[in-house]
Amino acid sequence: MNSLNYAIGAYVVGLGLIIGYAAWLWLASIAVTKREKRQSGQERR
Amino acid sequence: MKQINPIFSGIYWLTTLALLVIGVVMVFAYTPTEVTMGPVQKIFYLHMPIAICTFFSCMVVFIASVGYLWQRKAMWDHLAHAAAQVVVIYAAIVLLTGMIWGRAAWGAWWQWTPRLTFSLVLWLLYVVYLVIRPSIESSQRRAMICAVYGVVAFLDVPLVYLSVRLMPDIHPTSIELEPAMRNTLLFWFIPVTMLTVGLITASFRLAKRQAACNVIRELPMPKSKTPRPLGTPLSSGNRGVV
Repeated sequence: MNSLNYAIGAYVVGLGLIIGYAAWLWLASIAVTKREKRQSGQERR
Repeated sequence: MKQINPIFSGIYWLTTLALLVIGVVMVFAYTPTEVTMGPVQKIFYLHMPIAICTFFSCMVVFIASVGYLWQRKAMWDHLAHAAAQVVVIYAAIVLLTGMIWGRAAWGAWWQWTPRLTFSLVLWLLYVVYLVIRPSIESSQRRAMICAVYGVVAFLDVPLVYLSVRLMPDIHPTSIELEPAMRNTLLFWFIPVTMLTVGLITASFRLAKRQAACNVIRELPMPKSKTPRPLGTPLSSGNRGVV
């Protein structure tokens, strides 16, 4: 395999992991926001 | 909990993303190709800043763990948990990019040399940190055990750093860089540092919010008006027994 392909592959893997983790944090944050809203609704009731 | 201004947060993440894109363009369009190793050396501009920020995140886990042992505040535990997640992701990137580089440069994906072995141990130590957390139910006990573990796990960081200097290893200790290469490397430290601070902050805030939700869930329920099942004794000893 061409040496440049290894370099491109490394950047794809590295930045892909970071983007994946950031996306997971974002989704978890949305889930917590929903939970907070549900709990505040229950408290009001 | 004090909210971060969403406009500031958006600008921060967009700037980080833009700097990362500029960094990638610099690596493949501006930086000259190294003569001995060829284009595969371009991995260095991602590999090294991420490795340095892995050490920084390990330091955050260590400081937060010491902070918890000293003050017993849950905030320190949330910070250690957030930084440990970043350590696991970053150490995985360092290992994977190093393996790809090794495959091209040495002809093998992995060599059991001190630097690589201690790096793998570092990743495993923090994976175990994240794995043991959910297995401990009591939040105070979990925070205490993880704080002690976070302090002990940090001992591997100097081993990773010094192994290449103190023991025979095929991993290079330093690389001579041309001015254009040095500029690209220094530039990459900006988005990677911003990314590290942003990810630890985001994960820390998320951990705090999740803990607050769990506290509400664990609050005692109001007394139920359902009739007591037949045969249940009236003694107070049965209260709260599930």
